[in-house]
Amino acid sequence: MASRKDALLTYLSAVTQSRRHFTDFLFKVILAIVIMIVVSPFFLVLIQVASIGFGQIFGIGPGIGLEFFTTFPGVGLEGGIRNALVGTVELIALASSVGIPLSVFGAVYITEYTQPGWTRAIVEFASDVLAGIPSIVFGAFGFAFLVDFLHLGMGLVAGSLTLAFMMIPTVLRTTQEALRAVPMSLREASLALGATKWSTTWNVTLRAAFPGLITGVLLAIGRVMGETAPLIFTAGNSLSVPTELTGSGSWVASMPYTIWAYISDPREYLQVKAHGTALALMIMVLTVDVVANIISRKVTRRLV
Amino acid sequence: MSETENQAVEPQVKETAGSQIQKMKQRLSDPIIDFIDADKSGKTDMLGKIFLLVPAFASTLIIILILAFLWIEATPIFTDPAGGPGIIISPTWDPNRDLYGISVFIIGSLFCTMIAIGLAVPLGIGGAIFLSEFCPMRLRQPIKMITEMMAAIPSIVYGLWAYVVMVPFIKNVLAPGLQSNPLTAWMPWFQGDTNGLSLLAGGVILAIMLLPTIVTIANDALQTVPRNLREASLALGATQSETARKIVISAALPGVGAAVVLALGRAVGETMAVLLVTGNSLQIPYTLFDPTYVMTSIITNQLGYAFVFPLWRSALFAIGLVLMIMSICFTLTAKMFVRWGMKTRGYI
Amino acid sequence: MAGFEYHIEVRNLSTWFGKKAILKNISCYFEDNTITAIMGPSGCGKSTLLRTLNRLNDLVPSFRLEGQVLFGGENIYETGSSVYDLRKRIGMVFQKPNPFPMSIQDNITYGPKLHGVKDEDELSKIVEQSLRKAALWDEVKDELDKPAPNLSGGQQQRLCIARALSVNPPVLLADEPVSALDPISAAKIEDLLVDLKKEYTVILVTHNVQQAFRVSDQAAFLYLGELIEFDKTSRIVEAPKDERTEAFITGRIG
Repeated sequence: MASRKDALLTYLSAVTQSRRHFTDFLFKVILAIVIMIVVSPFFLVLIQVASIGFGQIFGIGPGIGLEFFTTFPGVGLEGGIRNALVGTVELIALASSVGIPLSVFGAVYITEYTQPGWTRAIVEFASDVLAGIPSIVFGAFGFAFLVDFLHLGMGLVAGSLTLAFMMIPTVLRTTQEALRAVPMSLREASLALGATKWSTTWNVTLRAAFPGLITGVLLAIGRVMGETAPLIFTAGNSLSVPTELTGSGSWVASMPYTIWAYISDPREYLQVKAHGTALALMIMVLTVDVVANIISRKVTRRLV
Repeated sequence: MSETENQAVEPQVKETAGSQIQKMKQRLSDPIIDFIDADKSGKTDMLGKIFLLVPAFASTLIIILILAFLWIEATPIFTDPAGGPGIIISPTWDPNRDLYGISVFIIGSLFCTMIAIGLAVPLGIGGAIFLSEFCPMRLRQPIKMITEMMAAIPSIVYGLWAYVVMVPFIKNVLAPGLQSNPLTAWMPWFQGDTNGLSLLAGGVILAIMLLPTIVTIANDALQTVPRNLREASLALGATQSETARKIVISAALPGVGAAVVLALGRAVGETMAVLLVTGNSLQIPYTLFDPTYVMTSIITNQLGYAFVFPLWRSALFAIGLVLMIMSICFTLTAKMFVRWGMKTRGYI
Repeated sequence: MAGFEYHIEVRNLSTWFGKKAILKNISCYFEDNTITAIMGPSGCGKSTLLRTLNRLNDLVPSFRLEGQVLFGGENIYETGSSVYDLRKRIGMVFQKPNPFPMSIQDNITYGPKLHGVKDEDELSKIVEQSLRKAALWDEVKDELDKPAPNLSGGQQQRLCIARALSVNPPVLLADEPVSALDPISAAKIEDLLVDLKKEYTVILVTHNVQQAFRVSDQAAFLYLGELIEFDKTSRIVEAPKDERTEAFITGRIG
């Protein structure tokens, strides 16, 4: 007990012995406070969402607990969010099936089949610009191009394609990095055995780059799962699941959209449901993100 | 020797015109000849290359499409006498009276972004310095993980929290507090009644959403500064904070600059969270507690109804075009920072 | 032994990084105005010993130390005097030249400014003096505000020496200062170090026996963290007493 106090006193006297010592100490203290301010919103948001939403996901009652995920909202929106959950899953699945191949093939092309030069620079530049475009601009574009110009109408296809466009920059860039990280010697070994470039790329290089690729895919899915703005004008909304791919039966709900709709509604029980949906969405997104991080860390360890 | 030189030079000059067309023909036909001549493996490779070409240009194509469609949709308002390029500075937005001045929204976005950047940049860079220079190893991983998770939280969830927690807080605690406290009550930017939906709310939630980006990128930039620069400084008798301030930060400046610019781009383009908390009023805000309307919000709110007047829809797309151009500029500037870093320091 | 103002002495020094022992019970004495070479094969703890002298190892959280390091008669790991003052009096030059990404002039004035020198005239005087001592003045005197990283490797290292000298430390530590340089620059810097011993005490880490022989007066041979021999360099190189020393000198271990 006494020694701790002594240690503290020695520390304090060491730290104040000169102006330079004190400035150093002060600087560190202020920055420590700053980092605490920086991370605090995470806990604030989590606590708020969880405290009210927890009951929705784990409680008991009509439209609550397991029923929260298995029942549709129904007439007074007093049911669950099955429409949104199924909607998000379907949108992501469709978006991934278009966005991932496009991005991966594109990344393969610019990394394996081109020299550093014009082609590569243009595609990389386009990808970087796409990454920075606001989500509402994607929504407006989806509306003008997919819904209007191509007459796809609002619904599953228009919504998924818009999301697919948003996935491209992330997946393309991370796949490119993953491919770049594969040592040249692997490719050379395969080619030296007489394999074609095509088969080398798919059987050797991509396999080696797979963890990095998966990380990028998961990150893109995580990001797109939480997007609202692109879907507002392209996916419509629905209290049940879509029955067709295009047309009026294809209107689909999504979790972020539902959060927005419910939180904007004055009815108290909808506010509560919004929290529940937000909690579920947060858990989904954070899980995807954590898995992506674990995979990416395993990659670094293996390569090193 | 000189005779053969002359002979060699002249025929070349004469044949240039004809041989250019020859060369072009060759460039087109060579690949086809190569393809026909190739064996199975060669053919696979060549087909594969073509197959992959299309997706590669997909992203380029999409950007061009986005720009094209935004431009097409926005053109009517710029060419129509009721609108014209002057809408960018015109202050009144009233579709019912054919008035499409979008300056309110540009100013709203500008103010909101300035507040957000003013809060997020010092805090973010400070946090990054702490993480990079002073953080004990045990804490570094957890803090970085939390930062990454913060970046992953969807903007609608931030919006929900801001709407349910921050807005009432501003209305019930912050505004009355600042307005009754003699130290701050006189300040012009704290005046005004408010229900919480305000410029301040938008700025703060934006700042919170920008922090993870700034911290992560700035921290990466600081980590890239070679360790032996720090050692040289410490060996001369500098303290750790002096080393951080004088050496490390200036060495990492390009990376930090890129982080700030990227954050700017995100701030301007953020939609859902800001939509819920800024109050969406068509008046220019004069105090922090006044409501405001940002570019992303007006599009979100009105695109669904804008089919009523064709110019209305066009004006909204014009705002989208402005947003798109701004984001391209920010991306370009960030790339320039990166290039600056590579050139003068060999790393970012 | 005259009254000690600067003598550096190490008594029963043992150090650890975490559980790994690096230096084992080292005792030796670095005389004023001489060049002492600390030599030995890679990984034997030479750099650790050097860094213990200016407390640079404090930066590593797992660092632990037993024994004493005396500077001017006082144990630097115990006294109340600040570590920043200590490092002002013990300068260091590193293996890879590490000029700050600033102008040549700013590199040299960095140290003095930290320790309170503000007068412009005094600062310019310090810049000229330090650069002259490092045999760099004639080459750069017209380009003092050009960026330091643009200099050649050898010039950068001489700049780092000038920078270390700018705060007038009685002792200069050099951690393999020429191993990253070309032979011509290396030779210039070796001559420079020999010149400097008139005014400073130099402690040099090297894994190159010939360099130690060329340049130093005393040598300490370290092997796997233990001090095997410590004596005049010429004696150690020409007549090593321990078989490990002999193996190192003749190049069988390195």
